[in-house]
Amino acid sequence: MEDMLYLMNSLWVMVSAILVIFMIAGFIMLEAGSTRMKNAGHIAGKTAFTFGLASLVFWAVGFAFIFGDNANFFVGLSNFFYSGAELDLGLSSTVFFVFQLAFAGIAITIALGGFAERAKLSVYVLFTILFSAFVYPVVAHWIWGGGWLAEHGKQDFAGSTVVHLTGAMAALAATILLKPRIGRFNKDGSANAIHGHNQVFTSLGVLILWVGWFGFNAGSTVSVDAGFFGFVALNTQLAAGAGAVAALIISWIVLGKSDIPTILNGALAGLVAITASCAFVDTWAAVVIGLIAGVLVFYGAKLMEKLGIDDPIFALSVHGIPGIWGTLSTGFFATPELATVGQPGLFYGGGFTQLGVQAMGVLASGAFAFVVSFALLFVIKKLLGGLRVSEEEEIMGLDISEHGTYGYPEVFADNQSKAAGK
Amino acid sequence: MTTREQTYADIRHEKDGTIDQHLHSTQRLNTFHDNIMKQVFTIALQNHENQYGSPPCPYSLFLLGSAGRFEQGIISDQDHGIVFQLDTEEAAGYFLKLGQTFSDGLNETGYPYCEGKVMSSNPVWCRSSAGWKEQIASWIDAETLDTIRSLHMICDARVLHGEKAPVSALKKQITIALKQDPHKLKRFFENIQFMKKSVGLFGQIFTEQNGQHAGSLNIKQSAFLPYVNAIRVLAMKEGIEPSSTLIRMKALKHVAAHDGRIDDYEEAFRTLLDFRLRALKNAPDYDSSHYVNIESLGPVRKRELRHILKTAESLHHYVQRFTAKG
Repeated sequence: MEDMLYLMNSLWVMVSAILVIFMIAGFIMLEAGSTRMKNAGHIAGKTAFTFGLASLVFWAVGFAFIFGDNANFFVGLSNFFYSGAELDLGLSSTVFFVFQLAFAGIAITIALGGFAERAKLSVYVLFTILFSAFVYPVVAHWIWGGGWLAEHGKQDFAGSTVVHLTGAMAALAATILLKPRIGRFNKDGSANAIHGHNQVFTSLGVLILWVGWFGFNAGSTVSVDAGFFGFVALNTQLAAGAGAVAALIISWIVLGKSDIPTILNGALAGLVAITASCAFVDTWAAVVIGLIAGVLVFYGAKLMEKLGIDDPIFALSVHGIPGIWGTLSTGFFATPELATVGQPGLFYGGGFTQLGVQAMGVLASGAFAFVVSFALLFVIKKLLGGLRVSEEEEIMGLDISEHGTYGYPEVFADNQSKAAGK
Repeated sequence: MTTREQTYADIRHEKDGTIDQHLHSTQRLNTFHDNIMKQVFTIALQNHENQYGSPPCPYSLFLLGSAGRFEQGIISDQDHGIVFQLDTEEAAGYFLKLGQTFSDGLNETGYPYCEGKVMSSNPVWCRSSAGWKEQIASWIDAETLDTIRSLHMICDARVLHGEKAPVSALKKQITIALKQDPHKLKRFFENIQFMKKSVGLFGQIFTEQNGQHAGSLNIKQSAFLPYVNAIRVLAMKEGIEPSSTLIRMKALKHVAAHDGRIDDYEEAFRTLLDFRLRALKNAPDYDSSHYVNIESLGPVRKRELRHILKTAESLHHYVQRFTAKG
């Protein structure tokens, strides 16, 4: 029977790992669709590439830093260059490794979203290595690897903080250092819309992410025990739906028209928010968490614009703000029966204890991810003489300037011959 | 001998027949080009005066781009502008048509039209002194990629016909703006920041991968522009007015801040000028006149080219650091 459980757990988590890895495809579609044609090939290609690169870093040091023994305050220190050794986890350790690797890949992909349409390719390469080694593993260790936040009973079931907020904070550091894309803001501070080139791609990207999220959240049970993953999946679906509905309604009320990017972001915001709480709250709470996330994402995007921050693919408003909300939400809604980690929330007689732990977790993790990412990018900037491509390259697009070919060659055939100096 | 008036066809014939005698130096070749273009202008002006009468006011016709810098290769497209004294619509109409006539004449004599429309047949490049002053001020103020590129163009202006003073006033307007505002100087450099990397880590030269120029290097983009652009930025910062890269280099040697660095760049640029004359002697058209087939070069020439490209890169970084310091 135990053998059976081991195999079933391994199989379920392997399926989930594949679903999470497939989320990279969602990001490719989402990011490429939300940006301009002249950068499409670049965005698609670099997203696949950085996932590959991050995997190697995760194998070399990431896994060891998060889950290793002999831990110091920041990281664990065993199982570098993971050999595949069995670690007694109740499922195949290699499956667990691949599952965790996928999460690290999602975190860096979110972070790099903030770089879109203006960073040099070399910056993507260097930051992927550094973030995957020194930023993500520390937060993941603190919360999932038995670090100090875990000891406080921090609730983050599948990574609203660990994955989404950490990624978003790195994206924030990048957008601040990179500065807005040419044409995003006028001299008087007013913002211009730079529309993505294909809403069908964006929608398909969102749906791929949505499907992948069942691996992300339900797979985070890392076991088939009592079929609990079904409950997690149920909450996940409800929050996604509620996020989309709330976003449609709020954009309709405020703008007079329902905005497609906002609706799509609403679904994602619901998913991001329920990621922390999916295993700890009742179904009605999942709906409430999703609804609030859908409203937050709309105003979050407006806030970024007001602050003069250019967030081309909504990394901050989709993963940052809902990531914070989702993490705090368990402090309100965690039920006594479901709170297997930490305490029940405020609405279940738990008082402010858990909410305080959640807030501390958000603050500490968010601040760490932002400060370290900012410092790393600052060093990269000095090293490479700037993070951004030149103005001319940005205008011609990164497809041609960084890679020499276009994602949409027919559309740019004229430019291509001009770029070749003809 | 008949006294028949000279035509564009005559000029073209003379040009094609004798250009070979002027290929031993870029200096010589450009004196030849100047001579041809002056003849073209004389005919154009005559035709124009026959139809529209004498010019309503003094004016200067200036060359831009490689012609302005006295650095044309064997085949070159046309870049030019006009500045005239009277700020009236009549004058504007008169000189715009003259610009058109001149431009057509150049095209007939083997200087193809400029794709970017930098020609005195375009109202942007054909203005009264007052109109120019206003336009340059608005270019400086807007500081977009395009307007700064236009300012770069003006810096290379050289008068072919008429007084020099009106054109020199335009350049001074730019130099003063750069001196007053270090941010503008930074923008001036940012405009030329893009440089296609052409030598790899192992000294390999990156060539075109596809098309009719596969295996060739675009030396205009990879070699000429980096030198010309970088030296222009340094020269404008010091208020050096001449447009030729070599003369600018000569003047820059006297600037203490550069302390002996210019010599190496000058040596490499001279090598480049000669290299182009030799390597592209037989280019069939303007497009092809930028491409050097790497495989056809012997080891000595290849080494020479690598040296030119690497020095270009080093100059580019030097200017980058220099403008960053302010």
